[in-house]
Amino acid sequence: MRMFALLSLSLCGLLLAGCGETASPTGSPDAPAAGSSGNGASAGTGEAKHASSEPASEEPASEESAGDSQSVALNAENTTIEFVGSKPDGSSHTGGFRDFSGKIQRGPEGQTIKAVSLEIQTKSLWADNKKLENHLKSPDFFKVREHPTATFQSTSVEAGESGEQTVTGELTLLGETKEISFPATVTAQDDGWKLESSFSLDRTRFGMTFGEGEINKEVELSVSVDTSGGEKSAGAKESGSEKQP
Amino acid sequence: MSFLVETIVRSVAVPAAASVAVLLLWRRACPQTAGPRHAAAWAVGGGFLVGYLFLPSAPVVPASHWQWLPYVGLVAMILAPVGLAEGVRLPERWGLHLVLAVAAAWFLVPDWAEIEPQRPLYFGALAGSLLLLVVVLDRLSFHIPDASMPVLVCVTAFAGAVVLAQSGSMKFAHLAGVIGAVNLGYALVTVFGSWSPSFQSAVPVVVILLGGLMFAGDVNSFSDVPRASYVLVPVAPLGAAVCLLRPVRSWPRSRRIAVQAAGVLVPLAAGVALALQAEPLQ
Repeated sequence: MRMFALLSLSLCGLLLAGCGETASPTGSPDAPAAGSSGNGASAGTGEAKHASSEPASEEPASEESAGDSQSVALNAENTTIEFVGSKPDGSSHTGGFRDFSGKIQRGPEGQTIKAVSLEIQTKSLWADNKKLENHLKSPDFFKVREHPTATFQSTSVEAGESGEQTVTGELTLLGETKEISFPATVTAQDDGWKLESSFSLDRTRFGMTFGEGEINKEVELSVSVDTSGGEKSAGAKESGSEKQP
Repeated sequence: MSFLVETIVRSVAVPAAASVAVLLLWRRACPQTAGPRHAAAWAVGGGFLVGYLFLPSAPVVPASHWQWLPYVGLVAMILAPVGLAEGVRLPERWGLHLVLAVAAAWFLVPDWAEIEPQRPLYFGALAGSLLLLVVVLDRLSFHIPDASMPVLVCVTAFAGAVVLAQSGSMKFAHLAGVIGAVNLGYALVTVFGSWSPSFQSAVPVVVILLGGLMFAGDVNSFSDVPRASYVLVPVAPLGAAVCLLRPVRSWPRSRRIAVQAAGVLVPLAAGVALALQAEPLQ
């Protein structure tokens, strides 16, 4: 009888422990965060790989990281993606993307990035000049009608000095998938955390060759994520469990 | 070389020179037999292909729908003169034009998911429009055999370049400039070269290239340029038919040509004006 009770209690304990965890692979957020607003950061110009972006975007925010990581949804409310294109004479134009979705998985200590994924709706491209905006959306640059999405999926994240991390992954733009690496720094805030990233991207690697010689091929991208004011945890909301600190 | 000069060389000078070279080759090779029937089509189609290849980073293997333009133009270049061969009747020529229009529409209408439900509609509209334009312009060119038609087509193409530039694509504007340039080359040889091959064989080539290009500009654009602009450009040459009206036919030649030009330039000006109103020059 005692043995039976002991076994029953153990079984209940195991069941409760299982319900408390959300099984989710670490290292690669499912749905790409579309929100990158940077200049091309991740959104780049490329075509979004539906193979990588659809599963991610369809996965419910409830996707919860495993106990040792936290998953945060990226969107236009907490993320900006901007780019600056320039000419050899020094003149430049700013732009970005407004519609995107994705996810960042962070480590248990909160300031380590484990994985990033992003899907950008290229139609949401904006520029500081309306005419330029239309030109950028045309077949000369982003071919938005033909390639409505651009995606980024991280493959590895390496820690560096002074809290800076190097994110490596595959960017799909204009139907071309290339590996890129960029630095990212995560800093803690009073009520959240902040991620900053600035780097340059060679647009010609993705077939965006219009204006070569007249327009610089390197585009400066910047991505910033700010969760102050209420961190949005995809998994936590869905499963009801709190993010594991 | 400055960017502007380089652009003009690529989009105008080189294609015009290619067009002239093709005409002179035909004149040297077959001035009396096949030359008059083939030369115009080859000058326009071949000149366009050269101009397309001079487009920076021009893809030889089509990856986008509009990149099929030089190839449908080449097919038209080869087949159009067949319709003018001795013994070919008018309905048979129209049948050939139908095949060219359908083939061009098949390749030029994109297969994006965004337009997939309406793709048959786009296909039918483009094929029907191209066929109608080819049939009418073919007859017009027969009745207006002088250099005025290629000159007016040249002006039409350059106006199309303005509309396409305002729509947001400089690549498309470049290609419209190429179409204008090859017709300019043809007109120069006709006026100064003492040889006037029939422009009729070039009509299917011009219509497919310019009509297809304006269609591509319309479906790819995010600008406010109205559809009317994209339609008025390829349709404008039909305005030359006013010079065939009974009262006008008896007018002096200079006055007739002025009316003919007005018939084309008025709709062209309207198309360009609408585009500039929607997207002002900056």
